[in-house]
Amino acid sequence: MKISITMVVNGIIHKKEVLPTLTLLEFLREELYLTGTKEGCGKGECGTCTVIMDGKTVNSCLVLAVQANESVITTIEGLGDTHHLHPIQEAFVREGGVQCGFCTPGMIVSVAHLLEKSPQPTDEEIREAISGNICRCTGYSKIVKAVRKAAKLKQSNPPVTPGRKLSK
Amino acid sequence: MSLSSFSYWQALSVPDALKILHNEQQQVKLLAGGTDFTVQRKEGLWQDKHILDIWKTKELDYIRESGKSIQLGARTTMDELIDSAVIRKYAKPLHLAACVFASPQIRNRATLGGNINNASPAGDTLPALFVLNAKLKLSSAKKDRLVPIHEFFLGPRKTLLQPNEMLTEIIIDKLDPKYQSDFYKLGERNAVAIAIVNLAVCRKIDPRSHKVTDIRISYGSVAPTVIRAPQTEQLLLHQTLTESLINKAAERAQSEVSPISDVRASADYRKEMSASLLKFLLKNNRS
Ligand SMILES: Cc1cc2nc3c(=O)[nH]c(=O)nc-3n(C[C@H](O)[C@H](O)[C@H](O)COP(=O)(O)OP(=O)(O)OC[C@H]3O[C@@H](n4cnc5c(N)ncnc54)[C@H](O)[C@@H]3O)c2cc1C
Ligand code: FES
Ligand code: FES
Repeated sequence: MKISITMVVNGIIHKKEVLPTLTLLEFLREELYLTGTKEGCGKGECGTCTVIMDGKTVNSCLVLAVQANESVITTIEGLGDTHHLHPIQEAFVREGGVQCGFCTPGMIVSVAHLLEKSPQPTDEEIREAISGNICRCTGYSKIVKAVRKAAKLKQSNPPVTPGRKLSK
Repeated sequence: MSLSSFSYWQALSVPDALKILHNEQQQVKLLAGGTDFTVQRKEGLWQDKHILDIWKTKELDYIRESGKSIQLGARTTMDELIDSAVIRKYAKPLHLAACVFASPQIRNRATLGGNINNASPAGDTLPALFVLNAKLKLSSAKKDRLVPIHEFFLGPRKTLLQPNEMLTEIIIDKLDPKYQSDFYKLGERNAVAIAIVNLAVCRKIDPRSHKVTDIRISYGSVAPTVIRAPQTEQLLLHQTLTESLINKAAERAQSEVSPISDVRASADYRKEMSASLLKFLLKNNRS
C-alpha cells in the first residue's frame, strides 16, 4: 500500500507516493535523485546520511519517508553547489577537511546546523556537534580547523541562497 | 504478510492510537523515533507487522512539573530532556544520561518511551529512571495502569507491556536539588556507544553530621535487566562516606551484579568496573 507524502526539500515542494518501509535516505537518493546524501552503515552509526529535518539533524537512514511527511528538509545540495560553494564547503576545501569525501556531506550538514545555533562555536562545541559523524581519513583535526574557518567566513560573508533556508 | 498488504498508521491522538492497538493487537508494532525499530527491521525483525507511528502524537510530547513529581510524555526526546530546565534542576540523573546518549542526530529522534520499551539492559535512561523511582503509565483502550519501573522489565527485551497497551507517561519523583547526582557510562568510545556498564547514583548528605540520609544506586548492562543495588545502599545509609566504607560498598556492589560476557566486554571486566565506577563516583564528593 503506497502512501502519499509531501515534503519541502531544499526549498522545493515534492509530492510522491511511497511504500511505508522506504527510508528518508532512499527517498532522497532514489526518488529525488539527490545523491549527495550518502549511505555508510545504514544503522545510525556513521552520520554520512545526516540531513536537517524541521530544524534538527537526523540520520536519514533511520527515518521512514512517511515519517518525514509534511517536513522541511535540507540536504547537502541545499547548502551550495559546484559553482557557488557554501562558506562551510569553502572552508573544508581550504583547510584540507576533505580527503576521500565520503563523510563530507553529513559532516557539513552537521556543521551547518551547529553554526545556525552557535555562530562562533568553541572547539568543544564543534567536537560535540560532529560526534555523530565518523571520518576515517582526516583524523578530525583538520575538520575542526575548517569549522573554525567556516565560522569566520560565514561571519564576513553570509551565504545568499534564496529559497534555501536551513530550518523551518 | 506481503509488503503490498503492509499498513502504516499515523496516530495523531492517544485515543486514536489506543483504538488501533485494540483492534489490531498482535499485528501492530509501535514506532516512535525509529532509532531501534528501523535498525531492527533492517536486521529482519518486525517484517510481518503493521506500523503504528506515534512520532506526531504531540499529546505525548511534554514535560510537566506538579507538586513532588514530574510527568513526562512517552514521546519526549533525549534532546528535549537535555534542554529542559525542570529536568536539569529536579531530575539531574536523567539529564546526565541524556547528555551521554548516542549522538546529536540520534538524540533528536530517540524517545524516552522507545528507550524504555526497547528494554535493553544497557538502555542509558534506565538507571536514571530507577533512581528517580519512575512509574510507568501503561494505557489501553479500556484502562490505564501504573507500574513501578523495577517491576516492568522481565528480562532482556521482555516487559509487562501487553499487545493492546502502550506507554503513555513516565512519572518520576522530583529530586531535591540538594542531592548530589552522578551518571557514568563506560563505553568503547564516548559517542555512539552501547554501555559496557552504566551507573546512576544520587545521594543526600546531612551538611552537619556528614552522614548519608538517602542514597540510590542503579546499574545497567550488568544483569538481565537494569537493577538497583539495595544491599549496597543499605550499607551506606546513615553512615559517613569514609574510604574504607566506600571500598566495602564497592565489594558489596560486586556481589549484587550478575553480568554476562558478550562482544563488548567479559563478565569479569564488568564486575570489576561495577566496583571501580562506584568507588570513583562516591569519592567524588561535591558537597
Ligand atoms: C547508532 C545508535 C546509537 C544508539 N545509542 C544509544 C545510547 O547511547 N544509549 C541508549 O540507551 N540507546 C542507544 N540507542 C538505542 C535507541 O536510540 C534508544 O533505545 C531510543 O531511545 C529508542 O527510542 P525511539 O523513539 O527511537 O524508539 P523506536 O525505535 O521507535 O522504538 C523502540 C521500541 O519501543 C517501542 N515503543 C516506542 N514507543 C513506545 C510507547 N510509547 N509505548 C510502547 N512501546 C513503544 C517500539 O515498538 C520499539 O519496540 C542507539 C541506537 C542507535 C541506532
Ligand atoms: S548511513 Fe545513516 S548513519 Fe550511517
Ligand atoms: S574524508 Fe574520508 S571519511 Fe572523512
